[in-house]
Amino acid sequence: MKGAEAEAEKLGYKLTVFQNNFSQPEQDQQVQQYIASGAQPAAVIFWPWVADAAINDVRQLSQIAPVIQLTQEPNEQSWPYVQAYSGANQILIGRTVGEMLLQARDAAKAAGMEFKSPEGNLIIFQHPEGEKTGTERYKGMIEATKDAPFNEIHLEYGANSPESGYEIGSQVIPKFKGQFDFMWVSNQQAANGIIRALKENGIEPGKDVWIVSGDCSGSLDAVKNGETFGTGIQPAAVEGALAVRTAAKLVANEGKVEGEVIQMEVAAEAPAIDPGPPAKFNFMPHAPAIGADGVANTQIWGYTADEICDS
Amino acid sequence: MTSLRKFAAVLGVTVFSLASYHGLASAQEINGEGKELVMFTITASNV
Repeated sequence: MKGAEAEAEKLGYKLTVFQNNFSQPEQDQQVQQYIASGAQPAAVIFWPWVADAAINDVRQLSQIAPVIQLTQEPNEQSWPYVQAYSGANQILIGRTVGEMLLQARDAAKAAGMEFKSPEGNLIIFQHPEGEKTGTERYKGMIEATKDAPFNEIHLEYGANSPESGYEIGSQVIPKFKGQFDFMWVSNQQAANGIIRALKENGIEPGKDVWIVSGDCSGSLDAVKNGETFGTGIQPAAVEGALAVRTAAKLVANEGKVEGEVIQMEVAAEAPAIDPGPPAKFNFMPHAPAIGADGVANTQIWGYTADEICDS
Repeated sequence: MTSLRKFAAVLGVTVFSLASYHGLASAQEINGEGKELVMFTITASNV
């Protein structure tokens, strides 16, 4: 909330926040109670916990104020009730993963690694099956590597935490031992669990296998020490600030949405707000961080990589 | 005021008003003036 609250104060808005504990029924109740209170906000910023189940919430909220959806892109059923999306560009994140994988392959080759196939064998540990995050990132990765693709030997769903990374890694790694060169893991938290499983199987990350993670949530120690080649820097606080900006632009321009995409560029400090209307998709900045230098030198909207990824 | 001058005055005001409207729409400062925004999010989020 810190990014959203700070931005709201700067822009002269009073921000009321309702948090649910990973519970769609809890969110449903919060929405019902808020609407029943007769509140008349200038705009609503809505992060559905289970997007398909939250359509009724979005529909009802749209009757009291324009809705900006945050983090999860609206689906076909919810778009009629949502004015704009604000949050991560999952295809860009996937493209960034692809670019880092290409660099990892070059670096591995330069370090004398002999691949299991001419292109290098890749195992993917993706978000839980059905999550749009994973699907969109995969599209981006394929797009970025299409001229020099990897040989994808296995894709496993479900790893998105240290615990699930370790549990799933412990099952998959022994099955494919000796067959892989590269891994793409959903996020660094899960990668930290996968790394533990690799070591238990006598495989040295950063030497026997080169790992890239999609986003950096969690400890960055494995990126700094080379066990993970690179990760994506995606600041939650910027996500919140951008959602408030998007809502403020919508209100200031009397509900007008203009254009398909505004992609915010990576900048060390937050740029001044553009007073024009928001686009349909308002994407936050995203940057790769490769190795210790990458982590040390990346800053987005005033936040360092350590601050971003530790949050 | 002659009719021509009246016409010019009306035209000038109209042109100025139109120009101001378009200018205001793009140069408007974002100021919520205390209006409410509401956010529904998850507990663990640091947004």
